[in-house]
Amino acid sequence: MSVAELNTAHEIVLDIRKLRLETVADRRVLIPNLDLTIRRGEIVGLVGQSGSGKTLTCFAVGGLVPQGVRVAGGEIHLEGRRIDNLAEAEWRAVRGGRIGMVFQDPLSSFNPVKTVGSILIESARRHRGLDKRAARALAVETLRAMRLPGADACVDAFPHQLSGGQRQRAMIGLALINQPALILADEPTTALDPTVQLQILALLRRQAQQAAALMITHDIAAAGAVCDRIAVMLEGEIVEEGPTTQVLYEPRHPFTRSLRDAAHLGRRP
Amino acid sequence: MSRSLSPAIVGAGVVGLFCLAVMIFGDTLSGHDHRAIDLSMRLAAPLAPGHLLGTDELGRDVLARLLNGMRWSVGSALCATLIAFCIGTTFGLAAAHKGAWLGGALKLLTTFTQSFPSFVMAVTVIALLGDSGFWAVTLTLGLVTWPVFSRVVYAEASSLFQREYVQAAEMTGMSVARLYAHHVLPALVPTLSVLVVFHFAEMIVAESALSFLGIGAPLGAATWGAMLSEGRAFMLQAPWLTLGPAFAMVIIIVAAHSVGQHLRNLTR
Repeated sequence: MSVAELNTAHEIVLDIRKLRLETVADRRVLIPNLDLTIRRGEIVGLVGQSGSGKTLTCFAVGGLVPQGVRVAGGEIHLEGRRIDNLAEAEWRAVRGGRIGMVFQDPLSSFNPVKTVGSILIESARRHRGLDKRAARALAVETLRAMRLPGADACVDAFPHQLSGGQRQRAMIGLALINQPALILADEPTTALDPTVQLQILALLRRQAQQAAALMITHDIAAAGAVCDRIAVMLEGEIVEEGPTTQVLYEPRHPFTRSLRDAAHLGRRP
Repeated sequence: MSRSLSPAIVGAGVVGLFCLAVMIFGDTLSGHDHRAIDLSMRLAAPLAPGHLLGTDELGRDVLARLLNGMRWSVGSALCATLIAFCIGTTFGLAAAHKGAWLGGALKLLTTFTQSFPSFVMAVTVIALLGDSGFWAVTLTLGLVTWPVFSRVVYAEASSLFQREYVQAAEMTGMSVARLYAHHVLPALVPTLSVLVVFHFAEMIVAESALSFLGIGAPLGAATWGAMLSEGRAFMLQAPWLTLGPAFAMVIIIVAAHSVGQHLRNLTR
């Protein structure tokens, strides 16, 4: 292997090879054969309809496939290390440590009876072995880096006391507090209003520079706004993958075209 | 959510304090031994000199026997509730977490236990133990009634595991034990506290019913059920023998229910 090849190999953060997911009960194939690679500094959008297997892929990468579903084949590598066969204890170090996840609805993703900060502090303490004070300082610093105004106050706020945008910033902060290699974002802007959507996408774009990100969305326009590459998923398979401009402006697959046209329809007054 | 105390809850508090005193001091509060027989004072009516609530057919002080019965009933109901709570909650939580075969087995066990009429089962278990005593009754009641807790805990905890915030916490690398401790158990406290209080009231009745049938407390023990059973023979002649334990039971149960009701209102 040449030095150049080694370097490129190193830059690959997430490498999904021939991933196959089935139901446990009747062995129905949900995702037959999925390949996807994400490099450092890159945001890849996984676009498709509801039920196409986007979220399932995302959870498989996080090692948390829902009950009744199992990984039936393939490999998942994170930073050159195979992770799909890790023991539960090793997984716990990866989740939240090397992989951070942003959920769709930030209101239901924070425990309503706990302060936003306590969740961040807990995660920082566990993964970094910090004491309470240091973890708190890190939480404030992280929230500030998410451009959350009044980060000091937000640490002690309950989820309902923050606005939707503030909550999603805090959620991204939670995903990023331990400086993960990979950010999984499952529909991160769907529950937000349009102006806030743009801010959150910009934030993700900025934060993904040190890491890699996989953004799941059904909104091809949102994907077009931040992603370097877009993979279009249909019934468990990636039917088209390429640089954003190519997928948006010269789609090869008819489904991609219909997705794009649907986005245009939605945006015209 | 009202923070003011209703008369019902104040009354329940008084009853609770009284219970506590009785649990500690027992029949000495009445100034009599509940076993002391005084044949010269048979079936004395209430307010007789030295006997506030009268005496029974052997001249034993009714108040002393009531207090002793309270110690027995409340103690038994508390312990039975605790046993049912511990077994039920543990099983419910274990079944709720995605353990495939364990969850299935526990659900089956719960259904199996619930498919028997619990009272008939309690009678059978005590008959099989062949020994009626405090712990036999208490254990039996606990072992027969735990499905109430496991059902509720299972349902609540499984729905909590579906919540996004629990999944989000799992995605930060939390262990299952910590997920339970931080996100699942605290959310169960309101439901469980209400359930415990109502279950306690039910256990009082169940224990008295067993004693009434003569399979709870050993022969001659002064418990509410046994007193009701023995007093039946003198229902017209000496109604205080049955009215005493009956009212005592009503007071305890009403107190427990008003506490339960209050807790329920608080958590709503």
